[in-house]
Order: sequence, then structure tokens, then C-alpha cells
Amino acid sequence: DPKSEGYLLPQLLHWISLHFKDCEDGARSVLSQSSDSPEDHVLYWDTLLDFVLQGRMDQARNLLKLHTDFNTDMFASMDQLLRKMPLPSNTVSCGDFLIKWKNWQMEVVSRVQAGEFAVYPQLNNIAEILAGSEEALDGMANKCKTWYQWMVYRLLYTNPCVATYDLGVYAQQAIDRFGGLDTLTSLDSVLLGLTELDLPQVVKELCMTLDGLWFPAHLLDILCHANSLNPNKNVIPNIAGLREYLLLEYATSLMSHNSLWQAGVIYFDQCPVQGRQRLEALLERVALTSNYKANKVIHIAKERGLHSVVASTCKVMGMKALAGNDTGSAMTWALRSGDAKFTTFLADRLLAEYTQSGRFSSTDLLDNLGASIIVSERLTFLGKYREFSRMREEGDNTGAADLLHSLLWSRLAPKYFWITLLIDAVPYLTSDEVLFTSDQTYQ
Amino acid sequence: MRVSGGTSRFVSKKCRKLRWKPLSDSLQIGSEMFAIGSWDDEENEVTLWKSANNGDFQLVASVEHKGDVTGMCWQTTDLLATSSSAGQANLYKLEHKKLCRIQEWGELHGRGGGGATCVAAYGETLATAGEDGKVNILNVRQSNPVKVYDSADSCSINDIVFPRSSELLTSNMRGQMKLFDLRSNKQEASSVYMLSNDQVAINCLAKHPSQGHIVITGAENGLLAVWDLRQGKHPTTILSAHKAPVSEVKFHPDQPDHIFTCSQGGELWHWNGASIRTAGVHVSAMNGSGSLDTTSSPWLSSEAVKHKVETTSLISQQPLPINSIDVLGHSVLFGGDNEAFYILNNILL
Repeated sequence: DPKSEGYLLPQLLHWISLHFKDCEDGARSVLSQSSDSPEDHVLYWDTLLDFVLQGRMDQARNLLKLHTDFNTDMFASMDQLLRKMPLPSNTVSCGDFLIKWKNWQMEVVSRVQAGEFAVYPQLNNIAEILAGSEEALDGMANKCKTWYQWMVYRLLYTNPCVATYDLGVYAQQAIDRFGGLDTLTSLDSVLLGLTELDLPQVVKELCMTLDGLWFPAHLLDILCHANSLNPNKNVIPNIAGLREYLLLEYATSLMSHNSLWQAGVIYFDQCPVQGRQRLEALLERVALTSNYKANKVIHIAKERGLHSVVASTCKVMGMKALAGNDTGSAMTWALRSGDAKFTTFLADRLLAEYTQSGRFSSTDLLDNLGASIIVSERLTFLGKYREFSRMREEGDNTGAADLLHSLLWSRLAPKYFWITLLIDAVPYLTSDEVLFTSDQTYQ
Repeated sequence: MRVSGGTSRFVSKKCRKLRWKPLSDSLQIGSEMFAIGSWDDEENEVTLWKSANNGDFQLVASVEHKGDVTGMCWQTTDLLATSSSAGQANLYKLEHKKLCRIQEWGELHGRGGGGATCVAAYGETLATAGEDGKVNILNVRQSNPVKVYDSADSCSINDIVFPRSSELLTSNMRGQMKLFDLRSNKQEASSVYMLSNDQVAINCLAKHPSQGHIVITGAENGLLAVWDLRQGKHPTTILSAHKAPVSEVKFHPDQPDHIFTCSQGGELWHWNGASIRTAGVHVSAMNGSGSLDTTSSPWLSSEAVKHKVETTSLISQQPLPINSIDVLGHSVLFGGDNEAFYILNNILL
């Protein structure tokens, strides 16, 4: 994580030690082979070297103690050097640490030059590494599997206080040593981008190589939050825009999934600039396979004030119900959408049904329209006509006649229905009771 | 919060219905099992889980399910019935740690994309209702429906419950409830109840465990309504509950003074009606038709319920809807669209 403050190297070392665990396997193998001279184990020196390179001094010293010649001066000297090596920590400032470290390294150099380790070439090699000799470190490159491994080892012994902005230089040197830019794999490119603090480059590489956008989107999100918490000025310019772009893309891909669309909604909520518009457009495309799902979509839209989505979803469901000949449900959806035209259309259908069959099909709907009767004039007429027809059935002739008259007078009725109305009026005109005043008849 | 201890697990499928398996004997306390039905996936399934002693869960059995699981209930301790959005009802038997489908009633509900929307059980009888407004009465021993109400309703039916063995109550998307007398031959409902003058869908029904005439409904606008089926066509009480549509309402099976509700807004509430009794409020019925004795349920008391119900939110609000809830003893099981189920233990009643 090149974006953090403080010492970079311990984190790099930790990262390397997590990924390159051969030395641990080697140590286990050496230890498990109980013999008098473990140093004859084929992996002994390699493992020791690995521990030293990774800065794991305690483990290196433990392995060293197993050597049969441990009691000799040179081993003791080596042990002492290993023990004394200063490691960067948060309690010591960089300047102080550098002084200590330089002193230590000078001690190492002087011991090497004095020839203390001359007898054991392997030990000498280790000492050379500790001294930060370029030659020795260069020789280590063959042991390393990757360029970044070698880069970190080199840094440990030549420049432990490396700053984040310098990392790119060392990375380039390491890559050159390992075959140049042509041999980079995509993971290598990502890491190179990281060392150079080139965020767009990193994101571009990630998007190209990975299948989905989950990783870059979440990574950017975390970085963005870290960035906003950073008291310094923006370390990374334009990160918010990049984050939103990635989140939008990811959320859009989620929306096309039949089940993960709900998660996509939440992602859109996190995009302040474009999230709402995109959500509005994509929410309408969710497949409405059942009433239950449609209700969920409507609720999501309502919560966010996307009224057009609510209306269009209700209409789609209404049309579906109609396609299944379920006029009752269709009408309920139409009323929910508040759409006058659709309601009128359905009211016409119900009236047509009546004229053909002489009965209403959805009486429980019509009897209980409540406040929604005013959504469409046709519906008002339908509701009133149903009331009239009920009154007629119940024998309430006066009321029926009055209602019929008001229906005729208000001209609410559609043209095709006038005949029916007039036919209905006939019994009242010809009956014995005076049911219509002369005014009414005139009209 | 008066709850201690809770566990959860991701199941990678959106949970539609969760139901505790009824305990066949008291030896099972501590290792309860529950079933989960999924929805909205390419392949849905019914899974059976067991809670182990160390708080972890173990998947006991799973079986494919055609279509979304829209309704689920345990007919006996071993038989699980589901209704499907593909329009059919299924019956599964738990045998030797496997769920096998022993009965399938296909094509009960054809029209409408949602197929069958709910299922209820009473003894050996099952009832399903669907988006097409049909109601089917099934018997576990017969492969064809015993009785079909072709036009039980003129719009989609959302939930169904048996108040008594001879009665069936349905609720529809328009805010109406219809009571059917199963003994008569009529195809129409014997009573119709209206929530309000607006067309607000009633999403779920819950019947009082011992007093079948008391029903609580949850609506699309987040309102809870308490009904006395014997009296009047309108609710006895209306409580404004959640801001989002109510997904499920449940009475506690042993202590019906307590109900639990969950909503599409990700909320889970516990309503403690016992506080009404202890407040010493005189429980009286509406319309001044005389006061009921104090053994009646506190839920029917309109004034008291408005002011005196202790409501606790059992969890912090979730970003995704909670679809289903079930309660057994002191444990509440719930789950929803975030593809996980949760169990809260030691609910204080």
C-alpha cells in the first residue's frame, strides 16, 4: 500500500514474507531432519540466506545456532551482527534510525574487510549482503523469483528509509535486472504502476486483466475514503471521479443479473453524481416476473423519489394482467399508477363487457373504488353506473332514476354507451310513477 | 436492545420464506431445524438447516425448486409444503436427512407471472392462492385439487390462512379480505372485509394461535391492522408501523400477546402487547357493544393499542428488504434479499 505514511519498508517486507514462504518450508525441512550437522542439509544455507534477505533476523539466528561450529568466533560475530541490526519501527524517527543503521553497516563492512568470515564463504556472502554490497546483492537476483522480491531485498540493505516517491526508481532498476519491460506479466504491470504511484495505470491494468470490476471498484472506494481522511491535500487527484466511474460500471453490470440487481441499486446509491439517473434508467429494465418483484421495484423507486419508474412499472404490470385477461388486477395496477389514459381504457373494456354480457365482472372492485374513482372520467362514469345498476337491482327506483338522470345530464358517458343509457331510461319514463321531472325529460 | 446473542450465515440465495420446523418433542430444543425457500435465482432451492450446539449451522438437506418459493409451511413435523411462482404446489418429506418431493400439484395457477403466491395448511388440507385470483384446496393424499374456487377474487391474492378448519381467509392486492366457508358449495366468499377506501395491498396475514377470529394484517403502505372477523367489515385497529411495505407478521405461537413484523425497508420489530394488559386498561370492543372480558386479546382494544404497545426494533436497519420471519420459543429467525439468514436468541418476552 504505497499510500500510507511512515515507514514503507517494514510493510514491503511483510508483504514479501507473506508471498514467498519457501524459507519456512526449508526451515521445517532442516529442523525435521535431526542430524548432528544440519548445515549439511542441502537447503540449510539457502534458507538461512532467505531469512536474512527478508529481514527475519530471529529465525536466521535460530538456524545459525544449529550449526555445529556455532561456538567459533566468526559465528559468534555473525550472530552479534544479526542481533544488532536495527530494524525500522514507528517509535524511532527516520533520521535517528538512519544514523544507527549506517553505524551498524560500517561495523559489518569493517568486519568483512578484516576477513573475519573468510573461512566460510557462505558466511562471508551473508556478511557481504549485510554490508549492502551491490555485488553480493546482485548475485542474489538469481535466487529471486520475481523482480519485486529482489527490489525489496536490495532496499533492505542499501536504503531502508526509502520513501514512496523513490520506489519507482528502484522498481525500474529491478525490472531491468530481470529482463526489462518486455517480460512484464500483467501482475507485474500492476505492481509497477503501484510503485510509480500511477493510479490510472493501475486501474487500467486491473480492469483489463480481471474478469469483473469488483476488485478495482472496491479498491478505489477504499482509497477514496482513505484519501478524504488524509489531512494533507489530495494525494491523488481526481480520485473521486475515477471511483464513481468504476462503481457505475460495476453496478450497471450487476443490474443485468437476474438476482444481483438489488445489490446494484445499493451501489448506485453511493454514486453522488450520476447514480440516480443511471438507476432510473436501469430500474425500468428489471424483469418484472411477478407481482412480488414488481412491488419491490416500486418500493425502491418510491424510496428514491423516482416517480416515473413507479408509474411505468405499474403500467407494465397492468398491461401484463390485461394480456392474461385479468381486468381486475389490471385496473388495480392502473389506479396505482395514477394514469388516466390506461384507466379509461380499462373502464371502456369493463363497459364493453357489460354491454355484451349484461353483468359486471369485477363488482368488488367497482363497488369499492373509493378515492381513486376520480382518476379518470370514464372510471367515474363506470363507478356511478355500477351504483345505478345496483340500485336498480335492489329496487331503489327513485334513487336509480335520479342517478340515471345525472349520468345522462353530465355527459360523462361515452358515446357508445348512450344507447344503453337511453334504453335503461325507458322503463322509468314509461312507468306509472313520476320519476322524472319535466326538466329532466327535456334534457 | 433486550436481545443477547445472534448468529447468521450467508446462503448465496435470496431468502423468500424461512420457517422453523415444528418440534416433535422437547428433546429437540437446542438443535432446532428450519427450512429456507429461495427466490429470484435461475435455480431456486429449498434448504433445511440445523443449528448445532456450538452456534454454527449445518446444511442438512437441499432440493431444487422450480420457480420462486412464494409460500412455505410445515404441514407436520416431517412434511413441508411450498407454493411456487411456476404455478404449482409441492410437498416434501424429510427422510433420512434428505428432502424428497413426494407430491406435486402442477398448473394450479396459470395466468399471471407470479403463479401461486401463498400456501396454508390445516391438518391434511392445503390451500393455495395465486395471482390469477384462484384458490385451490388440496389434500395431501390426493393428486388433484379437492375444490377449486375459480374466481375467488377479481385480482391477485397475496396471502391465505385458515382461521378454522372450515374457513379460509384470503387477502388481495386491493386491500380486501375474503372469508370462504369451505363447507358450503358456494363459489363466493361468505364475508368481505375492507381495509380502507384506498387500494392498498394487504401483503400478509397472521392468525391468532388460539383465537381464530383475530387476524393481523400487514399492508403495502406499512400499516398493521387488527381485525375481529366476527365483527364488522373494517379493522378494529390500525397501527402505523413501518415506513416500508410490511413483508410478514407473525404471532408468537405460545405467547400471542407478542407479535413480530418485518418490512421491505429492512426493519424487524417486536411488539409487546402484554404491556397493555399490565397497564390495567379496560379492554373494550368498538361500537360500544359492551366490553369484552379481560381474557380477550389485548390486540383488539383500539385505544390501548395505539398508545401502549411497547415496540422494540430488534436489529439496526438493513439496506436490503427482510422478506420473512418466524419465531419459535425465544428465537427469531429471519432473512431477506441480502442472501443471509439470521437467528436472534434469547428474545425477552
